[in-house]
Amino acid sequence: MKIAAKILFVGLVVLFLIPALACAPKAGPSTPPEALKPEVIRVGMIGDMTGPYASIVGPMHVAFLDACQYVNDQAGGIAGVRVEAVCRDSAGKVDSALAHYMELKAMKPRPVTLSFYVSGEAEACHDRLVEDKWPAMTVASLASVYPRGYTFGLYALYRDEAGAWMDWVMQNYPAKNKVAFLTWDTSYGRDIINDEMRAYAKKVGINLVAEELFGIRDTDVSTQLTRIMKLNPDWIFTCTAGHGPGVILKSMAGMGLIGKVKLAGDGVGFAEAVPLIVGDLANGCVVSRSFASLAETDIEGIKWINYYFNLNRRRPTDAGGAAQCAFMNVLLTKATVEGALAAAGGDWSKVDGAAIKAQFEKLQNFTALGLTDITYTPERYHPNKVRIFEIKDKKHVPVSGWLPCPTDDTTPMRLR
Amino acid sequence: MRPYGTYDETYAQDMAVCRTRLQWSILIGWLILLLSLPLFLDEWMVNFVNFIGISVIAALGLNILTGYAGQISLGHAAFIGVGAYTTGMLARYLAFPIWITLPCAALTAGLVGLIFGLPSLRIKGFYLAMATLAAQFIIPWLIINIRPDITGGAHSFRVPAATLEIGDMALTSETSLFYLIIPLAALMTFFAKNLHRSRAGRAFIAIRDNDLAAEVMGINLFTYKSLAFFICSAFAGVAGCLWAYWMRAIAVDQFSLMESIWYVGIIIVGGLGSTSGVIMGTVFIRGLDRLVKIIGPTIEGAVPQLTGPWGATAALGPMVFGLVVLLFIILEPRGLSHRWEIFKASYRLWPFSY
Repeated sequence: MKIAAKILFVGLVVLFLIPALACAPKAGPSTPPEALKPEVIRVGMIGDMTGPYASIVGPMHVAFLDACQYVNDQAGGIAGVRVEAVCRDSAGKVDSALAHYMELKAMKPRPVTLSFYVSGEAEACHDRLVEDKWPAMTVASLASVYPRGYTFGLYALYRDEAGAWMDWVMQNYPAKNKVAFLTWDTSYGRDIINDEMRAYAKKVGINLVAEELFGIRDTDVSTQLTRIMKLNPDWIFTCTAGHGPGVILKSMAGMGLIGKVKLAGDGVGFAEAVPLIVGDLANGCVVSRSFASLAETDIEGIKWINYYFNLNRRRPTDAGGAAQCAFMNVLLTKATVEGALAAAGGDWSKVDGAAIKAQFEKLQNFTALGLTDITYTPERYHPNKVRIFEIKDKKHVPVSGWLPCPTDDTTPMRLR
Repeated sequence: MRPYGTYDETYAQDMAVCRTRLQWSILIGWLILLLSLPLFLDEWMVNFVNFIGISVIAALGLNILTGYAGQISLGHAAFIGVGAYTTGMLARYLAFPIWITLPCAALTAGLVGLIFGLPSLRIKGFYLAMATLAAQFIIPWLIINIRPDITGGAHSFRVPAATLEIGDMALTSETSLFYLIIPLAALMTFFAKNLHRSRAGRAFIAIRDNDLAAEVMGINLFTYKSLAFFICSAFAGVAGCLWAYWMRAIAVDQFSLMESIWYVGIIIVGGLGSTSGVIMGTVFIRGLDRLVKIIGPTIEGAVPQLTGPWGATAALGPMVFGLVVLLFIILEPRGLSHRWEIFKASYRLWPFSY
């Protein structure tokens, strides 16, 4: 046999052997039970801090850090163990989110829970979370995120928020029932445009007169508004984040429509960032969401959010996102990990992803220091209550109590 | 340039990709090293290598079209999307294994690319760029609006794990996907490397250098331009197929115009018309992007004056990408592959010079 052929043969054998070796299951190191109490508990967060959703997720990121600080300083950590935040920026790119997922998964110790702050990323990691038995929370409230797995929502589905808002409109303004949807041309924005939503609007008596879309980077929607106004709606409902409602309101102001038609929107998108962006134009807008307003300063959770905001000298722009979600996020982790530990009789070796997930499924009326009201069930992994807020003097003021969401009506048939 | 004393005795030797034993040894050594990577890299790094592998396949396709045939395409990401959605639908609805979805994805993307490449016979340069740009708008629109019940519309489309139909083996881990992606990337690289030495490849180069002269020489412009678009898009289809299995949830947002521009940037930085340049350009650009994400927060912490409302890293990635492409166009328009050739030549002569 020639030397070249020998080299080739040996090379090929090695080439076939390597994958077999690399793919072989690796035995994990055995750890004595007494050494299993962790020195630190990590909580992971992956979000778009610098991409299109930065105006919402950026402030959530700092609030996430504040929430961990609160748990360590004021709440005794998680079962006495210090909490450490591990935050990663996906810049709105799913491949980056996936890379961060792998990085966090490889960490020792692995974060006990993971949080996703963008829809596409939560959807992309859904199956991996199941395979890795890794409980996760998300602010992405698309029904498609929650086919049962390991992902739990922090607030109601966008469609549910819209549905509950429709109920509120019919209870309080039955004569003003003409609604137009003007929303982003993204999975988030389009979540309210579907047959189930149309059927629900019809069922409760809402006259859905228009469905218009605009791009996430568009800065003017006067064309869409011109078409909408020909149909003379009473309300415009939007599912857009941060600058999205700002774009609509500025276009409305430019066309002299402020006061002629009211703008309403979903909770996380129409957060405290909107008045920061458009100022007084936001006054009068209506928001449907599952968590308290920063203006409700008598709520304990809001007090702590404001306390750490001031303590850490956050920038005014950091107050614009749904800091409440970040606090709810960390407090949910605390509650479920402590619940799993109690269920295991204090044996840390049994506090794994499956045990924590089981605790999520048992959560009933979890208030997170008064910030929310969450009940998960083994069949429903997202909250189904909202409150309606009206922006007055640039603050979200509650105008309703907790309203039930029409989950059974608005969830897509294929996901029921 | 080859070392002194290395010469060819036959036509086959002259045409060989690897001409000496040393080159064979280096190639096999590299392949062994490459395939051993999962043994000593963590999952995060293997994930990055997989991303590079997929990007290399996509960029190789664009390099065939732009680097060899001289045609431009700004719709490359959309063709990757076609491959990804074809794979997703075949795998999810028909439970096809990867050895069926892969060629189907390549074929579908190739045919779609062929359609958008048809204007290349009549228009070129800036106008052709605009025509291919249409793919970047039309294809996502079709995915979102025509049959959202099948494609998932604006929502993510879940893709089942890749299966080989060998004892229900599903490729779910990054390591198992590595052994799917990297051998395919190597195979596609070999194909692309050989293509430009074939009859079609030489026709592509003739068209790129002077299409009128090529036509006068008897090269059928329509056939070869269409072929270039088909091969380019088929590569994109393969990349899309692997992307779908790797990502496990696909959405039109993942195949944006910005991604198409990144691929154009990759082949410019690597060196147009060079297969090794494509690999270098991909590793360089994707690595730079990853590096920026890692050091961004550090820069933000060190120089807070640079920060915007929510951090300096907001614009750092695109800024660095733009700057790198600009610098390469001005200072080294022939890309990294040319730099590599210069380095090799200097190394062989060192310490003597001309």
